[in-house]
Amino acid sequence: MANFFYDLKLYASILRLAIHTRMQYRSDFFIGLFGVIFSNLANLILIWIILEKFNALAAWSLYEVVLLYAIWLMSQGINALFFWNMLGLENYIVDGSFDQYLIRPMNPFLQFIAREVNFMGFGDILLGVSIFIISYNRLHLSWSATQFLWLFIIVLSGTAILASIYIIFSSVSFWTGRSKSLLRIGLRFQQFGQRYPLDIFGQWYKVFVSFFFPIAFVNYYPLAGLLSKPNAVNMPILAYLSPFVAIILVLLAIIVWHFGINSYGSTGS
Amino acid sequence: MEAQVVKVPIIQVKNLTKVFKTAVRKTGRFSALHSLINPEYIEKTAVDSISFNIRKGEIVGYIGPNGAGKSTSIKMLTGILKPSSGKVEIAGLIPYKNRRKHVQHIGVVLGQKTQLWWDIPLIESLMLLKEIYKVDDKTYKENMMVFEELLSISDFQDKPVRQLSLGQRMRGDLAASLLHSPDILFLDEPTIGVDVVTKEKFRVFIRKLNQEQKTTILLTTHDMADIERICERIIIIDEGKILHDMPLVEMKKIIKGYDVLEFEINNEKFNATALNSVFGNKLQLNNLGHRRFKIDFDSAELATSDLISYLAQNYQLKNIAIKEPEIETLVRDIFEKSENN
Repeated sequence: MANFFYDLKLYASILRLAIHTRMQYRSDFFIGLFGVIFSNLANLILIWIILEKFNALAAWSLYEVVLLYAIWLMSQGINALFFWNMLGLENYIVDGSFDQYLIRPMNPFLQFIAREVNFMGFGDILLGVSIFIISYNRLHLSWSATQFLWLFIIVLSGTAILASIYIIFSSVSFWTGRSKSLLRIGLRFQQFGQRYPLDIFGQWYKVFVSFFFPIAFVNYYPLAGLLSKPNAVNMPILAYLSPFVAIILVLLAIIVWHFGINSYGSTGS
Repeated sequence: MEAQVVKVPIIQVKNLTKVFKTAVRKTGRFSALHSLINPEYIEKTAVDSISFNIRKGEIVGYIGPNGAGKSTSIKMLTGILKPSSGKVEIAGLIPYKNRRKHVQHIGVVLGQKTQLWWDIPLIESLMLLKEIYKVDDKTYKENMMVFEELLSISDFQDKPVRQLSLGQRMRGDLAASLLHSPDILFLDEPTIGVDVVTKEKFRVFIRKLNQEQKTTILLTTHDMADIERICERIIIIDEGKILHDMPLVEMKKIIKGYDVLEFEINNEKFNATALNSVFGNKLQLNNLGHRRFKIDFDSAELATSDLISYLAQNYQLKNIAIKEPEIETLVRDIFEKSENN
């Protein structure tokens, strides 16, 4: 345990260096930021067009759907900021450069994710917070301090859920050498699904994203709770379960990662 | 029997084996899906029951052709790979089990790729490693002075690693692997692609390190000069098995001529008898056909310049080249010669 805390300190040191390095490419940073915000705005316009046509999606109004998007965007932003390197794990495994993380006295996972800070995550967070504030005002909501604290916990749980999914999917390459296509399908699925209230989907999909690929706990269930809406499966308890789902997934991710490293084959030569 | 202090070897390897299981890629329609549902594997034994001990302070050359299992062995010794069977114990620890403790006492240079942070100036990487290995200020300063003296790292320490030349990067990697004064140093092809001057610096540095700090060193290389200049003992591995384990002097006795001279003449005939009468059994002549010849000799026994001037005086040389001996040839020769004995 003492080791782990020391490793967290080291993680902070490496992160500091990574940020410092990144700052050398300032124009790259701003262009990227612009790109992220622009592509998210395009998604939001799509939502707006759809709701313009239908007025509401299964009893979710425009700004409620935007709120759904905002919460997902904040979790996604934090995840992108800190866990982005996970998406590239396959490359490190295929060419054997993952070796370097196993020959230093520091937790390999922390070494690996400290390698890159994806500043584009800031774009997600910035936009997420902005559209959250707009929707919050348009909906004339007035949440208590406790509800805001709960929102904070939800966003962190969402981050943990998304990060765990990244880790579990990427770790597949410890065994197969390849995981990108799987990861890509997962990401597409997740990004598509989380823009809309679960109510509009079919039964199989509801079950799938609630119990097997539990991304509905990132934004849908907790927000339905916060807005006092009935959720798609009529189980009010699900509105409070995001932190528990997060904990279970994190444990699962730790186990998968651990077994993955043990069966890491390096490259033959 | 006399009472003796029996020193336990710092590296103990017994029947160490690594079998790789690789999935066979299927072809045809839905091949990816097919491989996922019903994977087929082939097994390849990369390291096949090897055993050896290395005492503290030894410098051992671990050589063999490409694909012989050198890197796989080193990866098991460093704790990167888990052995399929057999035992490896280093300074009382089992590498892959006590990875964290183990790596605190070893240094590793994998020549093919750098372990330094790509975008970060070398000096910042070294400072980060100081923190990771918990190196105290005094040791850090002393080691940095040695690196400066022998590797001249201040020439390039402020550049990001990606901008360094291959030779500079190797020096950087070497410094990074030694910052925490490890007891054992593993070097896997450290001199690959490195210029002659840097190679020489490297050799001097390694010898000095071994003499002054009693660092145990295991080195794989394709460069015969590395082996001659650095190693005291040679372990030869081929197809995953150890063929030979002997002192360098012993190897030199078996392999006499590993210098190679190739030449082509314009003359009608080459007088082999005359050549042999001058140089006796110090060389071995091979006719490659089309007036091309190859001479194997040992430059320690027979000066290359003598040989060249003899040839130049007696023949019209169309072409002449001194060839670097190849590990592959060497291993084959040793194998054949020991078979005949």
